[in-house]
Amino acid sequence: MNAREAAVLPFLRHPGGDAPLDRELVERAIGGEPLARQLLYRRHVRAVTERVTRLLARIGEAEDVIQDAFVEAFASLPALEDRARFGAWLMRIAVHQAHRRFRRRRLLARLGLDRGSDDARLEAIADPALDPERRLQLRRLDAELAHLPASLRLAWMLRYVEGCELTDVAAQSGCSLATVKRRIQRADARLQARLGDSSAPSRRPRG
Amino acid sequence: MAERDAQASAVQSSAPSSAALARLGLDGPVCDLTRPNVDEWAVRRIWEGIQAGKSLPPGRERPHVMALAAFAAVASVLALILASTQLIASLREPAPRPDAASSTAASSTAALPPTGAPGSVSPGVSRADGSPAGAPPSGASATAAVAAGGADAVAPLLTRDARRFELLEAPPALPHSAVPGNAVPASAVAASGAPTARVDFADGSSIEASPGARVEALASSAGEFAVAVRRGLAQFRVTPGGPRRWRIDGSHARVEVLGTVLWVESDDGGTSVRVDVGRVLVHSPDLPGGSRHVDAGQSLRLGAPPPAPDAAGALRAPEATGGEPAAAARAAPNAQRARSSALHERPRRANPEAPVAHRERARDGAGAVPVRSRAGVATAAAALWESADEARRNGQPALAALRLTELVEEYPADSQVALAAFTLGVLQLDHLARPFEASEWFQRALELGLGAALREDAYLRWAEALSRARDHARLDMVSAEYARQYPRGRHGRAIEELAVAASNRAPPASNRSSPRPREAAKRRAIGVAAPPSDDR
Repeated sequence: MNAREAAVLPFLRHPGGDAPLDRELVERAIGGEPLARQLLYRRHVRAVTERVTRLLARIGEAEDVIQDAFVEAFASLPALEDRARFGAWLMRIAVHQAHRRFRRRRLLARLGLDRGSDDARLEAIADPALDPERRLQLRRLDAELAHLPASLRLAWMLRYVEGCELTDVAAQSGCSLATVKRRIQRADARLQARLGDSSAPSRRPRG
Repeated sequence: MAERDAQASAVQSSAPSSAALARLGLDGPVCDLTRPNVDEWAVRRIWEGIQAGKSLPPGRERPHVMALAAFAAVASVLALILASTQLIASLREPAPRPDAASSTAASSTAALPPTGAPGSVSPGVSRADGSPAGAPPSGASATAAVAAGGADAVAPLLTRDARRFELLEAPPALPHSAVPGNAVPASAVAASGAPTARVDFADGSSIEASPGARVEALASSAGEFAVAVRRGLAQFRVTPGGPRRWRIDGSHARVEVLGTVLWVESDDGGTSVRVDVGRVLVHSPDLPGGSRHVDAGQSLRLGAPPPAPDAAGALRAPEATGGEPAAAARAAPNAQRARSSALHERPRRANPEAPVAHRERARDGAGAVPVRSRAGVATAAAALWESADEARRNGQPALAALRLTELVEEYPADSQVALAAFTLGVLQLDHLARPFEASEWFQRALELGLGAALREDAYLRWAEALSRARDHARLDMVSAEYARQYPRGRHGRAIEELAVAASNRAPPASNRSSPRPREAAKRRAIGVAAPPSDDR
């Protein structure tokens, strides 16, 4: 093991976790050490990428968002008070960027300028070992999520797709806990209604 | 507040459950069912983008966009002012004088000089050695006379060393290059070491004569610069915006240049014109109406078609030409067999549909191969192949490139165009030392649907061309695209090495005088300061 590996490997053994390491890396990065930034990036990029990719369902846009999130995070690193919570802070920035991207996508779609394709839908990035029935369920979920407004979709996905705590959802969405709950409930109700319609078309009233 | 916190904590304590998910039959966080692919390429690409983004000044994330917008606004205002000025000037301008109109007409309908006519050099131009204008060439020469006074010498176009251009001639490189149509452009044959001749003018224009070509001055005055291509192939680079009109005479056509880069090849049988940049006006008795515009990317042949070995060979089934090229060449001494040259197998058949350009040209009466039937079209395309391969065998890659370019441009629907584009890339890269053009041709070959057997090779050669052209951003894109298309491709290592070598040669992002566009930087697959891998 050379000196560089010896300096780097301890920080890569627990990617995304181990807050004391984050604190140390953040302080070193603020001190201007380029390697500390690289290590911070390496430790968190996978978690951020997975979440943003699931949220946006587009690989290209997800990469844009991740880049923007890291650039913004590194630029405002000295403003981070609790340096051990770099991961959560970064995730909040990334989700906020994803939300902005969503709204922009909707605007472009209304203008007929959105030419991107959802190449990272839940069904497309499903575990290869997943059985076909589950894949079908994910596909239906993808289809119904596409009809939700950006804010509702984001809150619902953070809660039920990402499995975040409500407080985390509120923090990452940048709104209050009550607002988050309301959004999640509305999103869930809409999804239920749409799934009910699509799963039992014969029960629709005729005429 | 306390009640809300209690409610929230109660909700949080329970596992997230959604009625919608339950209706779907899913439970628990859906993320457990997914596995987004976070590959190393993407991780490095994003890091490179972050490095590039870091160099942007805060608050101005996209300065290039703002600069472009400002430039567009200023340009719009200037264009508006210019248009208004011209409109006002045109309203005030008197009607054109009749003598000016007659002068233009006389110039455009002037008789073409006879092929190789020795007396066509204007009296105002004299040889430096005092030899007659029609004297046979004795070797490579770019003769120029010191500018002198006289009626014809009013502000003439001078060479860079303040001499008047008179004659440009390059000796034949190979015995067969004396045959008209086999000449090689000068800049193109550096690899083969063929002697060429070139003259540069004071205004930045230049003429390059290929081996065996002869270009003579006809006139040089304040308003016109006229030359004649007596034989062979010559390239003209005319600086646009000058006060003089350039005129180039061939054996069967006269070309009026309007600021352009073009090739003119002339021999006893005919005259070929190919325009790379700009637009020219070609006059010829063979053309309907006497003249025709030729735009960039187009070519025109007047007179007899370019030399092709034999039509029977061209029409022969390509299946008979398989096997090792040299052996095939020994087995059957016709041109079709010789086409199975160095690189690859030939396409199986010619396209039965007549290409639009060919039909249009045939309708205009200026077709290089004046045929209309399907077999004729196949013959024409095959004849271009024959000519290209003949040129390659003779060590004339530029001429081969010219023929193949004609094939690609004039027969875009032909099944051979993808292979022709690939071959063009190889020629440009290996023989003509033009990596940028080569990269364009490799890309085009892939876009045209190059066969699976050659696609991986095309990617490798494309990457090699981009590496030589120092286009690192596109090289990284090609590398990433190849890795995506062929995860276990046989050239993956070689392409990756090219990309890594290119990135090592590139200056660090922080040292760049101006930051690259973020989108382009983001696509740089291998960063200068690539983050350490966590796969160890």
